[in-house]
Amino acid sequence: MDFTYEVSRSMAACEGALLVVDASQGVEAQTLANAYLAIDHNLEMIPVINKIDLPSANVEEVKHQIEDIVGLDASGAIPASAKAGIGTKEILESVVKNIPSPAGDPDAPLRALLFDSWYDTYQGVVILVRVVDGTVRPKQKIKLYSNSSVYEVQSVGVFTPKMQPTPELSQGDVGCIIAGIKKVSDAKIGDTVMDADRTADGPLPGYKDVKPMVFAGIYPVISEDYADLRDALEKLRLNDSSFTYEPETSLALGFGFRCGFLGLLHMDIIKERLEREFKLDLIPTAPTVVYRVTKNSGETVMVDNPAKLPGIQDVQRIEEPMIMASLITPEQYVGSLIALCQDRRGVQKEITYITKDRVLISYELPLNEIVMDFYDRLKSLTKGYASLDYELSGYVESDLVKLDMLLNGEPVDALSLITHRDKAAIRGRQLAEKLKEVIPRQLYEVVIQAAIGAKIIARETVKALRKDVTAKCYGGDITRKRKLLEKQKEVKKKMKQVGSVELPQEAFLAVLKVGE
Amino acid sequence: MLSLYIHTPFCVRKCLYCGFYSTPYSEQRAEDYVVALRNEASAYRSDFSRRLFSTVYIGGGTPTVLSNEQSAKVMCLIKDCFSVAENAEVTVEANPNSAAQQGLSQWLRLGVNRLSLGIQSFSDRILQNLGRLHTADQAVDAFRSARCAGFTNIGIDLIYGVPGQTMAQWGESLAAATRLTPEHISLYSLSLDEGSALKRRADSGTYALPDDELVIGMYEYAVSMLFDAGYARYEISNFALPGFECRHNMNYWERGEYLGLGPGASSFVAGRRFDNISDHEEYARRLARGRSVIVDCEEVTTEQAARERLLLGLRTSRGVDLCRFHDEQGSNSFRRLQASLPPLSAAGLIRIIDGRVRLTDRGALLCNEVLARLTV
Repeated sequence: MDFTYEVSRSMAACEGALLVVDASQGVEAQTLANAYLAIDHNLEMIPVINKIDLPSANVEEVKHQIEDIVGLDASGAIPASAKAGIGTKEILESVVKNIPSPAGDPDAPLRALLFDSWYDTYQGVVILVRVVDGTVRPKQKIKLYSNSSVYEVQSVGVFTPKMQPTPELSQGDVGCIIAGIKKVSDAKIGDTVMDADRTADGPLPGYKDVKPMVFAGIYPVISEDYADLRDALEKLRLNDSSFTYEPETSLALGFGFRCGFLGLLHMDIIKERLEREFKLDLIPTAPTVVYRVTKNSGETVMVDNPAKLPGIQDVQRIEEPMIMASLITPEQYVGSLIALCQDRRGVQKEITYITKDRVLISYELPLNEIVMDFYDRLKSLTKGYASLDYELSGYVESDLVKLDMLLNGEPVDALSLITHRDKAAIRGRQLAEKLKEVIPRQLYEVVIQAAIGAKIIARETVKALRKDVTAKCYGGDITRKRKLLEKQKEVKKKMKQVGSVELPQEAFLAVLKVGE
Repeated sequence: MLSLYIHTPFCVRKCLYCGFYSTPYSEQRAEDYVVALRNEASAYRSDFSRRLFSTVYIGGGTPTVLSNEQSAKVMCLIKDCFSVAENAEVTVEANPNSAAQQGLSQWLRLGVNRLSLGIQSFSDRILQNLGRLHTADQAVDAFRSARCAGFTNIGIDLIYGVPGQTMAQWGESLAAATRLTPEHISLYSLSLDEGSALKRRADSGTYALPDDELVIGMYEYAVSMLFDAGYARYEISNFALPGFECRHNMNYWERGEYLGLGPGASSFVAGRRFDNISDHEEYARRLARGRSVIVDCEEVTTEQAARERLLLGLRTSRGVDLCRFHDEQGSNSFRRLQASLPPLSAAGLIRIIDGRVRLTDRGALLCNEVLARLTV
């Protein structure tokens, strides 16, 4: 899904692959997507059925699925349980017996495929390569093809599974190179490592410069946490060059960052790590895709933030990114999934019974319809049984509008979103209702409005707070009362002041939860 | 100023809205309690030998369920262990169903000079809703008995905002109250206290307080009606004829010191707030063995003291004296407070007159909101 490109580069570094299928879950959408990817790369596949120790394991059924859905001979599938240590030896034997030896020319100029990299505090960037042609050894000068930067190799090694230095890596080897590279963003996945003094004729095929597809603002709940958030993002970026961030200011949320992700899964991982590993209390804004906006002047701009959408009078057309989604589901959920996809402006491409009770549904969908809650809806509609995979399928012109939320007449930038015109009215209403639920009563009435341009499409009111007083306060009540007050002050501190209105964190999350 | 509070943890039956600690009355329990109370008072005797108590408040629970002999022992142990000022205000709480004239006369003879009568309502239906054991007629009788017994300073409590209560009923209760001309009236908006039966019902969804607007209407009506009858509001929930403000409670709101005796009683002495264990059996057991009954003790920090000063002072019509706040809390805290005042003033929630911050009528209803916006 989000990491298809990375997976494809890893496959390009191999001659074969293990197709690991869960013995109780069976073939899922991503199993299929990755199997097709492996077939595209002409990999020799060995089917492995894992988790056979589970009570719900059904090895025979899964074998049928592999044959029917993936179209792979499963007679030699190896039953295994990584947890119980079953099948490990058989798998290794099968790798030795069935997977072809690497091809390539040991005497040709160096060409190695870079398929992973990470940052090590002591050694700098460590890159993982598959040497296709030639040899690489310490002291050699190497060049990264995509940006022509030159480094001197400090050491090379293989993993067994700990890193073991070796004198060299040559044709067919998979190992690591440490060459004083400073940033992971300089070591791009899919790039070709060459000998700087004896440059090969051309790079290995398949290199792409991947760009973030989904953007969201990330803000600290308490503004004093801004520096901590910046440090955390910097640390995450050290090991993840596909994730981007830049400072952003919101009138409502103050100082934060606009972050770019490969997709939804990638975004969830980053948010989760910021909260868990760095213990940050965050407000994420609604995720948005990158729109291609052509202005009347003919200029084309890419818009990753609703606040930056040019005024309607300047816009000639807006295009939005589309995806091809594959959903695999037990047949009893087909109806509800089709309803979900239709509701999300989907265009049906194909429905196939891949076994007698499992169905593959293909839909072309706008990415902006799935960035919010599509995956959660999918899982809850199908009790977790359906699976999803998608790939980008290009940009399509669409009738999109910016929906603004106004509080007491003032637009709140962090609550704006871009949506299809047909859906704006209902979204605006839902959002206004949701905000009414989560905005606490305040000293003054709060008027919530949803607007497209100057046109108000929904309105709700949070009545003014008139009474908040403790009936009694005598000797025994004082400590309790003081502690309650301290708590109330803490809650106030976390509120974001937008004009005259105090907004709790939940108000910003409401955008993500509309429709639940 | 120093006050003494005695908690009597007995009730004939617990009211539905009550979150205080209490246990059913029995002769034996009350005997054990009085013995334990003497032990506790004796233990404080030397610490307080040089201090004079200006007020005494015997609350509960229902102190008037004690027998004449037991109440004599309680009053006696106070005199034996502490010095109480000649002109001290000495209050006892009573319920209309346990306020026989003969018992009340006895309390008077023992030195009590103020009675707090928990009438709550003059509507039988509302009294029933609250789980009270008396009727409206009994309440009136109890009040008259107290007058006949010789009480010249009587306060009564009324509750409003009870589900099912109408504006008309509330008006009638207030009228009935003023006809009796008590010196002091406390009005409490029904709240769902932790540990009360009503709170449990509300949590299970079978009970809900009436709409805020109705409750506000009842309060506003009462304030103006009582004002016309000569009662001034001197605290958010308390009204008195001139000169009859409850000195004991004023001491709480002034952050004065108080020593609390009895199970579950709270104290504030020498900058520390501490609570007694609630369980009356454990209370008696510990005292019998000469052990402390204090379960929670907290040293109040300067910042907490500033918060208390505001949360208590703003409840009173006198408000908070800014000069005094400055002297007590220092100029940094004072400046922070001062900076947080103008928006509240602009919103019509507070008024600053003669160097005192006071809540306006609107602010009184939003007291917690005001406090949460004050910085110290």
